[in-house]
Amino acid sequence: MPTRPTPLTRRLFAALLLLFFVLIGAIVVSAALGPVSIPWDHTAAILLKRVGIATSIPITERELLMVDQIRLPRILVGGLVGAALGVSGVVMQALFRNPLAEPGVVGVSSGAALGAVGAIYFGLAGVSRWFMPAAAFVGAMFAVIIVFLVWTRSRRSGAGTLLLVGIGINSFLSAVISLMVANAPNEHELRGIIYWLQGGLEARTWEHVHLVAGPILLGCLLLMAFARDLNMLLLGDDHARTSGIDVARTRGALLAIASVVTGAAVAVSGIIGFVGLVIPHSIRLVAGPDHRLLLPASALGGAAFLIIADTVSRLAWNPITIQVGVVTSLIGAPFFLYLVLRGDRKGATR
Amino acid sequence: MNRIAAQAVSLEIAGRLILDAVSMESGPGRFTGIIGPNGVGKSTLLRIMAGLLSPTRGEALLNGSPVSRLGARALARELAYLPQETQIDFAFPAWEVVMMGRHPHLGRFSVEGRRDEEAVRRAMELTGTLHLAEQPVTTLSGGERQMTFLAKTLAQEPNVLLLDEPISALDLNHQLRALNLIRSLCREGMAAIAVLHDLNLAARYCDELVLLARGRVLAMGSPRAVLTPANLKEAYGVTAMVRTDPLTGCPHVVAFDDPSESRDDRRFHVLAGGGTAGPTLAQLVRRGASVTVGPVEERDPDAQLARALGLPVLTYPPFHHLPDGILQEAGEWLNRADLILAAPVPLGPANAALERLLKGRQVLPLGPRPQTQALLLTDLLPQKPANLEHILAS
Repeated sequence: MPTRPTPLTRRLFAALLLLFFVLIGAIVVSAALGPVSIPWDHTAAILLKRVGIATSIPITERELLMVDQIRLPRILVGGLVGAALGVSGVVMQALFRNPLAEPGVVGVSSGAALGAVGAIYFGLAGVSRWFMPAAAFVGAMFAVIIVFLVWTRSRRSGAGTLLLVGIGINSFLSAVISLMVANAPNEHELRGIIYWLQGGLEARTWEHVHLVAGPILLGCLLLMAFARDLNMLLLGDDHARTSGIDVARTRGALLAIASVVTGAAVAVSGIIGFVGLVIPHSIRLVAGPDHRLLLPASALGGAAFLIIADTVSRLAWNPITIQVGVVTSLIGAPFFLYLVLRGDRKGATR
Repeated sequence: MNRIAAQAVSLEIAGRLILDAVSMESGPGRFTGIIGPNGVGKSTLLRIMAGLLSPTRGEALLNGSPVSRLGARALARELAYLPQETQIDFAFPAWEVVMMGRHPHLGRFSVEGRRDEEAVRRAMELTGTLHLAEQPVTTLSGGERQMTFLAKTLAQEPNVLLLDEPISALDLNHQLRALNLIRSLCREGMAAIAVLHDLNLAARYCDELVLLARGRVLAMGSPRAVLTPANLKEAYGVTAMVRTDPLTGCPHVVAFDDPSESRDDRRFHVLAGGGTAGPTLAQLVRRGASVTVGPVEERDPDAQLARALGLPVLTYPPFHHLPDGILQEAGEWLNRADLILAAPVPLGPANAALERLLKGRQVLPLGPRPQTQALLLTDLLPQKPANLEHILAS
């Protein structure tokens, strides 16, 4: 006798518990590894101390400084950025009912890039170390607002039109960025621009953590509260509207929150590609399309993935530098292809 | 309560008037069908009543209050809408899709409870989709998917149900099943409006029909009152025969397309009887000819066909000899015709007097002659019987 599928709460609990342990594992491994490796037990003791649990394991001052002041903030920024990109990616894919949508689709990333690149180009990056993130965030919001304004002025206000407006604005901003890259005043600035455009988590501090933790965590929680609405939007506007969702208002709210979350992430990390695309997909292939599971799972998965990618970028091919944005694509793409093939065989996706 | 209405609704898009002051309504216990040719605004009208589209003038009313002023949530607790088709690329299990119908009854942070599960189970049982509960909706066939989405609208427990071509993707069995289900839910007090293309199924299952043509209501009322040859000609531009189906007792439409070539506007009279003249009458009407029929016994199949085609027919009571009065009147009908055709009517004592009508008139026999020993009306004529195409061509 067919019955209803496994209750969501049970699947939710199992999946999130698993991902949570993966995330903790990633944090510990990442904190222990580096140019100077720190013994596992010492790393664990420092991390436990950080959350207020004292242990009897002896820790040196140097180890404490390295983990607590250098590696941990970088890990946490990576985790927050990964979670933000994972969750925004899920939201954008649902809003556009398009599995190829990613967080930057409404202009957030290219807007942020323009802000940051502009700051470097005009030599303002050195004014304050907060100037770059601020310029990036303002650029992101500015681009999104322009996309919104163009969209609401258009006669057809569907998600498809928004996607097209986003593509248009994105190309325009990319052109302006290319112009600045080509005309960068000197080698140093050019290197700065390219680094930022590829995304990186070098030298991130506790101040960076404090700066973005609020908007990202709050934004992700808000988006999770819309999980059922996102499920409904996947059936199309007509179904959603006649099942009690104010489609225009809900879509606007979700876009605004997702843009702030992405903007905050991009402001401290630069443009890290692929996380917002590959994480939602991977989780969906394994856990199904239900946003009540997909959103929190993508937050945890995105965080763990970016922390692992950043660890690889710090260690691999030393002393060659390889940026975290490059690593995400290098690990993410083959993994993603594997999932697509596996999913096809099971018939779980189209 | 459970009353949905469109009140003088007009919609103009880019200077084109799609709907022109359309008014209609449905109420508790009523299953209303919207019919009409393609592009006439049927779906548009339904979408306006579902609150998905704002009319340029007029308004849609749910229980007397404008649909546009109700919040999405309040509206969804009263009214459910099934789109013509649903595109979905995301592999939700069918059960979860149906559960989405419970959305307007759930708070933002509440979890589905026993009450919701019962509503989903009942909706899936009614639509025969419970065995698909665990299957991803992306792997279902078109018909299964449509029934699943019908279950979703039923899980919403609406008082008013609006359906846009709900049966177009279904096979015969599922069509009947879906319409039966909707009708039986109406008997329990729901109001339903469906856009339908199959006139015969619409006539069988709907309590009333609204026929749209060129953005206006051409006719509304009982299927029998709406489905007339004249209305169908006006709305669809086809020649139609409407008669009572002997098995269902409902109006049944058989339509013929209008050949724009080979029109014939002469006046014909057909001497019919014994069910021999059907195809001839249909052919003539199709060509735009004006046709009269008779005299024929009142219950003769030819009399019924002529009436179903909306033709004047001269009849006499059954189990009687052809009365002299009728014969005389028939003579006058024949005199008014440009061309008189005789079908191969079997002659017997009751209608033997038909022979008198042939005297002194040019009457053309219709062939081919059926294999029979009986004496036929056409046997009394000097010419060889010919088929209708042949006669019309010469």
